[in-house]
This record gives sequence, structure tokens and C-alpha cells, in this order.
Amino acid sequence: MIKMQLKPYSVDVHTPILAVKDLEVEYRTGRGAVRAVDGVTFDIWPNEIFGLAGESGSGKSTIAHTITRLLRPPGYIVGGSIQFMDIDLMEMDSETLRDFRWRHISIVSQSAMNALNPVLTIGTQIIDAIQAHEPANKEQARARALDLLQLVGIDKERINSYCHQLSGGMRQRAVIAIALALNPELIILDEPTTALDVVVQRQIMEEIQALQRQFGFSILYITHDLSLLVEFAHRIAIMYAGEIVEIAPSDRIFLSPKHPYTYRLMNSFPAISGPRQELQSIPGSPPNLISPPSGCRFHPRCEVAIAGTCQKVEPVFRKVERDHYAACHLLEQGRSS
Amino acid sequence: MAESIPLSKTASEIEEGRALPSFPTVGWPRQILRSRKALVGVVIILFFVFLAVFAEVIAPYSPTRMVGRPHQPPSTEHWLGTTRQGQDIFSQIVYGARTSLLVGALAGTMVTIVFILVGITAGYVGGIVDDALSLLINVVLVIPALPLIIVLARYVERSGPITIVLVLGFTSWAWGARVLRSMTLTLREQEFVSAAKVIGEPTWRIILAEILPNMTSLVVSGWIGAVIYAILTEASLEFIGLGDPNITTWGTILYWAQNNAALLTGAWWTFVPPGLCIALVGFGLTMINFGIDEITNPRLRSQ
Amino acid sequence: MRYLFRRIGFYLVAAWASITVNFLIPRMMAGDPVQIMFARFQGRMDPRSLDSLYATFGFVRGSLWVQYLTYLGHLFNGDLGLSISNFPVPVTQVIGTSLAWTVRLLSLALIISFVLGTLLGILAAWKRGRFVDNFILPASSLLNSFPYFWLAMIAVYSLALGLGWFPLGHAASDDIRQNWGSWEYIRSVIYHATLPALTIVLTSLGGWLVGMRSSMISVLSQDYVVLAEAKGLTNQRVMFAYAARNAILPSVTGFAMALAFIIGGQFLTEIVFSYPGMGYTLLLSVNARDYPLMQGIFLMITFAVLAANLMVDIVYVFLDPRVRYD
Repeated sequence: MIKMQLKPYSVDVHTPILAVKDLEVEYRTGRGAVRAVDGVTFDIWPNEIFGLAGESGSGKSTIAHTITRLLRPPGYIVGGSIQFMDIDLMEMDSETLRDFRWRHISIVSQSAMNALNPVLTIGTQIIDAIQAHEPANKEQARARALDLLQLVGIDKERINSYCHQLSGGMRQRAVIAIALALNPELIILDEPTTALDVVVQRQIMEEIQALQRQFGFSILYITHDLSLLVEFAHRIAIMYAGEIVEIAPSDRIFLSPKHPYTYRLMNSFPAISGPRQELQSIPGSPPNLISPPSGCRFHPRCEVAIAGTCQKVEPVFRKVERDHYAACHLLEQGRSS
Repeated sequence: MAESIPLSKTASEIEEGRALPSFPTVGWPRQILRSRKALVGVVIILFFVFLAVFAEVIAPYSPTRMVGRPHQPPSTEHWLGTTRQGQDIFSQIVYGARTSLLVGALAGTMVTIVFILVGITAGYVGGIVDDALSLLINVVLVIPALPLIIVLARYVERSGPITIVLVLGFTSWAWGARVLRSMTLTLREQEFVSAAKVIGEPTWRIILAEILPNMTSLVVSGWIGAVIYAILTEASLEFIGLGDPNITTWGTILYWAQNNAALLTGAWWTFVPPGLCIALVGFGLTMINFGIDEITNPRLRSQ
Repeated sequence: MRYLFRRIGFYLVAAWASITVNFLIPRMMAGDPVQIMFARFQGRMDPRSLDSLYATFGFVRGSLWVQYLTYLGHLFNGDLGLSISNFPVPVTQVIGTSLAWTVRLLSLALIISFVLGTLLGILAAWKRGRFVDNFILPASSLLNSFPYFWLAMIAVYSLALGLGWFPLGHAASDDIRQNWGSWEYIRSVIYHATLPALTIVLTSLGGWLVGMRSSMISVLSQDYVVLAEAKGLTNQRVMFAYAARNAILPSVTGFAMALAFIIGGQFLTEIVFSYPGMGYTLLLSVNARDYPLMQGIFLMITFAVLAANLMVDIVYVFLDPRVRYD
């Protein structure tokens, strides 16, 4: 049924698709440098849905922009490396970078409301992406665009529609179709469903999951909504104040979170199947990143902080069990939260 | 206008999510001087205000009397030369500052009063009143003002500064009204306004105490814009001979220069200084407006 | 299409409003306006024009309402009365030739300045930096602060009179007979229009630049522009098809709204150059107290602005699919 030609994956399942190492990103503002991402390390493997969760201001969207090299001043990469398979993303000249984009990494960004150009048709926006990278002529690109629309469940007729003529869910599907246009190895979902209602959110995530199983791309799924993440991601990293505080398979995050912050996050959303209720938010607010708290950054909001230690000593990111890492002094003392 | 969340802006903007449009509140007048542009503007305007206030002390001669040989280029005696009638141009410029600034300020104030009344009424009352006033605003915007002003001024015949103030107040308020109307619409939906309504505050109090104070920066920049427009229009009307040629203003200096064929006789000193002064005042006021803009609209601030 | 019909309806209302204002202006004076006008000419006026004045302004016996209807009747027959200073030439005829000159000069100058200013604004937003902020923006707002007519005077003084590069004024050389088929005549027209057009372009350019720049800056931070960049499109494609294509929409609306304002300034430019357009004719009619001509010019220029607005609306429909399919 799907006529789309898949490009053969030359993916080695034993090396990560994306390896981010010690990444540091700063925003240079008038009031000083904001270290939005501070020493972040994680890998994304072939076929994996990797979740990145955290409150607003934790730096997760900045990571999305850094990986795609879309960071604009006043944002600057100040340290670390980003490796895509065997390509160093930091060392690319502009033409290589232009061609690399979308062919290998695409994005489904925050709100589909604004991700579509209001004055171009959906078709043109898909064709644009195809023609920027492949020598396809207009007809070929258009045929491909039609296939893509069908793939995400949009009526073929809609190829000539503008985004104001589509419903919210439909727009989000169109954005996904654009993201699939070049059959990339990695798709970044940056809060992909926040603007949609709950039913459509779930529906779209299920569709993305199905596509992921069909085509085998990897996903970096960035969200503040842990409930969806736990359900769809294979592994989850929890970010707090520019740092990753815990990484684990999603069932471990769900069943046995090790970091007090993760624990609080897990309790701040309702049960997956239960009725949605008012979120119980974590007391306090994310720290000021111009002068982050000393020691463990979470200590001012942490209920189980160890007096004398957590204020002073930065906890080490350490292995707790197989595939499960966290940075908390409690773990070093053998007590788990 | 619904602004979306910017994707690639500063960390705080990205991560803090959708922030309410920041309504300029009380603190902005003090902040203005921190903007270099505004500071330049304030210095320029203060300079001309100084000229206007102390005209008698600063001007070496009477602006209207013949005090030298006619059409003399600038010299130590007459810094900016003399007119065909032998008047001292520097003195005329100094006295002209008084009329031009006064007319500008008065007309600007007239215009501001009208646009506050129309804009807030339209935005706050809403319904059919808003429809009617909005239509009026748009119609006035689309009718070319200067030709209308010229026709009106001709009918009034003896149009001194007062006429110009009145005519401008009658014709030039639409832009400001449009801006204030949409701001009022936004403010009306704000919590503090609905709270005041629930308490049962009278409408006039809500408008004066809750709505107007939150629009001061818009009102001030609207006023500044109206003053610029008034000064330019006054000069234009006087230039084409619709002012009172016996009153010394920057516009009438230009009128006499044109009448005395200053261009052809090469008497540049008769028309260059008044034009420069008008432009400088306009520039200074624009710079102050930029300063207000930068503070109340951080998006425009350069990095 | 509903959009265009709504706009046309609005322009009809605006036209009606300006016609009514035109009717009311002479009536705002105390006494019999025609007698007052006549008195002002102190016998220099052809007595026959008295009747024409009465007719033009609808000063017939009867209520204001009857007068208004009479006035409207004249108007609908294309009768704006007879010019006093060119008695007995109809006002429409006097206006006809000058309108053509103005439309030619203004439309050319405005289109050039809008296109150029918009392009520069796109560049200024794309290459945001110190130079633009500290030099181009203040420079353009300084240029905007000069009275248009004064800049025109300076241009005449320095470029025409001083350097002799351009003629001092008028629309064409007096030595050449008007003949639109002759290349020599057309060349003379272009030569004479260059300096007025240049001053118009120079004074209005900055406005488009600043407007387009700030509109571009806010569009550049929109998701769809960031996404276009992420798609690996070329810089030109991102800049024009995604950013500028959207940013120009408010600029076009602004263009329409500024038309009425700009025309005022350009009128004065014509006066300095003795360019035989509407502005210069208005000055002549004002000096001659040719009331019918004055008011006719006001009406015609208003209609011209409304027509130009309608044209901009039509362009807008092509640019913005949201109004095309509402």
C-alpha cells in the first residue's frame, strides 16, 4: 500500500545514532551568561525512542536546537561534542550542514500551529524539503508528498491546502509528514502534542509509534508530560536546571525512580489510565541559571536533602543498576528515595 | 496580536513558555534615559526648549525688525545671515522655536485628548459603539489629511497658530485612536479589570485607574508622534502661505525664503537653518519614542 | 472574495464620507459662503462664476437636505463645477491633466521606494547587527524627520541649481511639444521626473525599511522559519519564501494605510519642483482662492487614494491565502 521507497539503513546497531557528550550551552544575556545546558551526556540508539523530560527552563528545548545546530545568538555551544553516527556535528561547514539537516535529523516542533508556513500550501512545504536534498523534479516530489500525506492519514486532496484550513490534529500530522519526507535516521519530537487535546495527543503518539516501528528511525522525544513519555519511550532522561539527573529505561523511571526530583515528577502527574486531575506541582521554582545553587542544584527544593552535603558537594552521576544512572548523594550513602 | 513562543531566543524566553505580553507599567520613564537613543533625543529637545524659553535673552536682535543689510550671508555679526528684509535669521530661529514647539505641543495635546477619548470609548464600550467608532477611525485614516487641512485652512482664511492647532486636532487623531482601541480591548480582558468590575467600581474609575495607567507609554508615544506631525504640518501650511506670515515661526521663515526666491539667489542661509531645526526636533522626538519602544517592547532591542 | 467585497463596501463609505465633508466645509462658515467668496475677490471674479459657484456647492433654495441632494446630483454627473481661476474651464478638466502627472510620478516613486525599502529591511533583519542599529535606523529616522518640501528645496539647490545635473522644475522641457509618441518628449519627461522622484524615494524609503525590518525580526523567530532552516533549505529560500513572504504582509497593509499620509508630503514636493500635478495645482487654487478647484482636488485625491487602497487589497488577496479562503 505504501509506495514510499525506503532507503536501506546502513545503521550499525552496536553504535549509537547520536552521541552527546559533556554538552555545554550558554545564552549570553545582558545580565550574564546563562548556562542552559551544563555537561549533558546521553546516547540514542538505533530504533530507540529516547525521552527527555523536565520542567520549563530545564534546557531540554535548547538541547533540541543544539543537536540540529539551530541555536542562534545569544545562544552558544561552549563545550562538549555531538556525534551523529560517525559524523562530528560541530565540525560541519555550512553547505554540509544544510544538506545534513532533515536528510538525517528532522524535527516535529512545539506547536503545529506555528510550525507551518501560513502562506505556502502543505504540499509546497513537503516538496521544498525533498527538493532541497534530492534531485527530484516537481512531479516526483509531489508524488512523494502525496504518499507521505497518505502515510500520516491526511486526505490526498489536502496537498493544496493551507494550514489555516486544517484542524489542529491535521496540522500536526502534516508536520509529521514533512519530518518523514527524507526518511531520516532521527526525528526530534519537541513537545509535539502540547497544543492538542488529550485524545488527539494520544492518537498522534500512537501513529508516530507505528511509523517508528515500520521505518525504524530513532526518536528523541522532548516533553514535560511524563505520562505520555513513560508510555511511549524506551529510555528516559530527566533534566533539571541544565543537567541530566537520571537516565533509565522508562519502566524503571516509572516503577523505581532514584532521584528525588524524578520521584516528585512521577507524583506530579495522575495515573495514566485514571481520570485527569489537577497536576500537583513541585514546590519552589526552577533555579536561576545565571548563578545556579551550589552543590546539588535540586537541594533548595529537595525534601530529603542531606544537610551539609547537598548544599556543598555536587553529586556524581553514577550507575545505580543495569542501564540506570542517577546523580544523588542519597544513592552514594546506600539509601534510595 | 497573538504572538507565538519564539523558538530561538534567550533561554528564559524559550523555556519559560508563553509569557503574557509585558504591559509597560509605572517604571518606564526612569528607564528611558538608560537607552542611548532616548538620551540623545532628550538632549536635543531640551536644547530647543531652552532656546524657546529664553528667546529674549538668547536672540541678539528682534526677529521682525530690520537690523542689518538685506540678504547677508552668515557673519560674526549675524550668525546665520539676514533675510531679504534685513532681519537677523538667528534671532528668527530662536523665536521660531517658541512658536513651533508651542504649536507642536498644543496640537499634539489636542490630538492626544481626542484619540484617548475615541480609542478608549471604542475599545471599552464595545458593541455597536465600537463598530461605529472603528469605522470612523478607518475612514479618517484613509482620507488624505494634508489636502483636507489645506482646504480647511483656506476657508478659515486667517489661520494663525490657533487655527492650525484646532484643525490638526480635528483631523489627525485616527492613528492614535486605533492603537489605543486595540490596547483597551486587550486590557479589558485582563484580570485586574474584571476584578474591578466585579467589585462594582464605576466605569470612569476603571478607565482612569485601571486602564489609562497601563497605557501611559502608548499615550506618551502617541503624543510624541502627534507633536512631530503637528510641527511638520504647521511648517508645511506656513510654507505654502496658509499661516500668518507676520508671526515668526520656522515655517514662515521658509515661506519668506521661498517668496524671496532664496533658491535662485543662492541665499541658502535663509532656508537651511529652519529646515534643519524642524528635522532635529523631529529626530529628537523620534529617538525618545524609540527609547520608549525599546523598553516596552523588548523584542526590538538589539542584542 | 468576501474580504474584497467588505473592503469595497468600506471604500464606498469612505468616499461618501469625504463627499459629505466636502459638502459641509463651505457651510461651516457664517453667512452666505458664495457671497463671502465673491467679496474676497473684490470684483476680480467673473460675475458669471457666481452662478456656477452656487450650483457647484448646491446652494439652492431649500433645506440642507435638498441642497445636499442637488450637490450629490451634480457629483454623480461628474460635475465638479467650473474653476474660478481658469473660468470657465470645468474643474474636472483642470484636474484631469494634473492627476495624470501626479499618478505617474507618485506611483513610480512609491513603488521604487517600497520595493527598495522592503528589500533593505529584509537584509537589515537578516544581518542584524550594530551597523544597521546604530547607523541605518537613526539615519532613516533623521531623513524621515525632514520636511519633505525642505529636502526637495535642498535637492533643487544642490543638484539642480548647483551642479546642474537636473532641471529646476516642471514636468518636461518647454521647448518640446507634448507628444507621447516622441522619444525626445518621453526622455524629457523622465529627466524632469527623476529629481522629484528621487526625493520622494529618499524620504519614504526609511519608513518601509524600518517597518519591514521589525516585521521580519518577529517573523524570524517564528517556528516555521526555524523549521525551514532545519529542513536544510537554502538561505535564500528561508529568507524569501518563508520569512519575507510572511513579513511583507503587515508591510503591505502599512503601505495602504500610509498612502493617505504620504500623498500629503509628496504634494509639497511637487510645489517645490513646480511639477504640474495635483499638489502644485492645489497650491495654485489655494493662492487664487479657487474654491471649486480646491475642493475638487481634495475629492479626486481622496478617490485616488481609495482606488490605490483597493489595488493594494487585491495584491494582498494574492499574498495571503487566509483572506483568499475565508
